[in-house]
Amino acid sequence: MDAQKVDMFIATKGEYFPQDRLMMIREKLLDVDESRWFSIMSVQFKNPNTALILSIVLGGYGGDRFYIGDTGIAIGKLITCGGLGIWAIVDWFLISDATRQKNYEKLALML
Amino acid sequence: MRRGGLYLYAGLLCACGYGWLLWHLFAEGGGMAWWGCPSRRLFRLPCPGCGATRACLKLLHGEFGEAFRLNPNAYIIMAALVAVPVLLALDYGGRHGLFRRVCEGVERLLGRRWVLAAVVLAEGGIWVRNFCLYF
Repeated sequence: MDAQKVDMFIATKGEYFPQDRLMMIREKLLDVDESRWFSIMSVQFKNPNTALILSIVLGGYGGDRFYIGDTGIAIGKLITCGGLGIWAIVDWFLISDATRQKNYEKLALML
Repeated sequence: MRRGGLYLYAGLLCACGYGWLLWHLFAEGGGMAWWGCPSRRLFRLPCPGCGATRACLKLLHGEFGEAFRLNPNAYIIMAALVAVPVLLALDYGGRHGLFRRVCEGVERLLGRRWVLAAVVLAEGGIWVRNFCLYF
């Protein structure tokens, strides 16, 4: 794929992925065929900042984990009231990285 | 979630769950009055987990009907508290990746619309029931 397009993708969506994987993502995108550009660009990635806000506001009900697609963990948080609040607080610190990891796994499936 | 992170996360959650139940079972909560569901306390909004601690304790005492009446989610919580350590032990004992495969299987099952709809309806029903009980 064209290096300029790849750099534009990294510039606009780089914060959605783990920072230590960005070089690897860039290299894999450069190897991908041009015809897949549109399908890669049209993928909806989850915003780590939105996930953090949801974690703070709705973390006790699993809203953050529902947002990123961790349905099992979300239901666990819902039926335990965010692990009596403790699990919800722990997730405030984990959710951003978890979101980036989920985005990376979603992108890796396409590459 | 990476393998090590998932196992640590699950292990810690289980340990906290056991600690919480054992504290209530043997120390009667340390003699402290339980302040109740955080959601109900902070937002005056009961959650699907209200009554789950008492229900789990009832289950441990063999009062299955009473546990279901207090909160049916106790069955799910106790099943998870039993299954997770067993799966983690089997995983470390030689069946590598078993816990991760089970987690992925559960996620795939919950990914099916009819399963998710059934779970959401069930939890919604419990939530409404808790509203009626506590208001």
